[in-house]
Amino acid sequence: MFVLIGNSGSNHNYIGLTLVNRQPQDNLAYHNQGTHGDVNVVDISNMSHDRIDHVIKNDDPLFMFCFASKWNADLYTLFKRFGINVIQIIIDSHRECMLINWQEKLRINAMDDTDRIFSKEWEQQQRQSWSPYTKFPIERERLWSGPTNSMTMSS
Amino acid sequence: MEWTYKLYDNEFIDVKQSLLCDQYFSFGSMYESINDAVKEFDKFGIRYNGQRYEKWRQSQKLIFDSWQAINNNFDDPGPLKHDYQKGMAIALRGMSESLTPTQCWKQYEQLLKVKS
Repeated sequence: MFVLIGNSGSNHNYIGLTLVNRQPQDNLAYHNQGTHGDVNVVDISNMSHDRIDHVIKNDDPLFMFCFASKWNADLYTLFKRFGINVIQIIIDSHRECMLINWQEKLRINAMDDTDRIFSKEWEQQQRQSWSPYTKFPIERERLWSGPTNSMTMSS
Repeated sequence: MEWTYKLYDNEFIDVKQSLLCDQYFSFGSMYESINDAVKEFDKFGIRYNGQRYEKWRQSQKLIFDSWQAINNNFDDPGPLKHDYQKGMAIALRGMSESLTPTQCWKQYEQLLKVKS
């Protein structure tokens, strides 16, 4: 078992499943075979330490996932107490592909309603934020890390 | 456009390397080549091969096609199909010319219009 640190668009489900020797079924997005699916891959980004402790002791997940914006020293200490390996998907090169992944997999070709609703909300935020300043609010889209996960958008 | 600029800011939380980790998996290896991806999984003791990479790459055809379209249209992003592609195209061009996001927007906003 390990914890994978990543972001939306970082291919973390495909990479994580491959790292546990699963061969995911070919698809544009792998959310449904990982963190959004019924396999035991657990997103701990918004969990309390007690809940994470419970998951580690009782649920035997294939792997766990945490958004980079949520990762901190306390979580690292918690996982090291259990001797669990921590792997970060480092966004080293071709960074724009992470954004293309987000746009195509969550917005334009979303595979389920969860993703679709999330990206619709984001699009509305962008339009509200930028419309007073430009005729191209989506082209000028911006983000910063927010309180819920790394893809929270704000103006 | 702003988002693309943020992704190339090394201090941005989504791309900053955390020291609170034991190992790192290179995101870029998946987009670089078969060999890079195979080597990356090999670091973790996983036998990943060209066949598996090609299957993954085929599943990601939309992503690779979009990436190529953006890279091919820096000079004329107007005809690109999606709004995000246009924003990314001017951002990548602006960064290659060392423009700030504000300078980039001022200089290339007009390219977003589709020529009639």
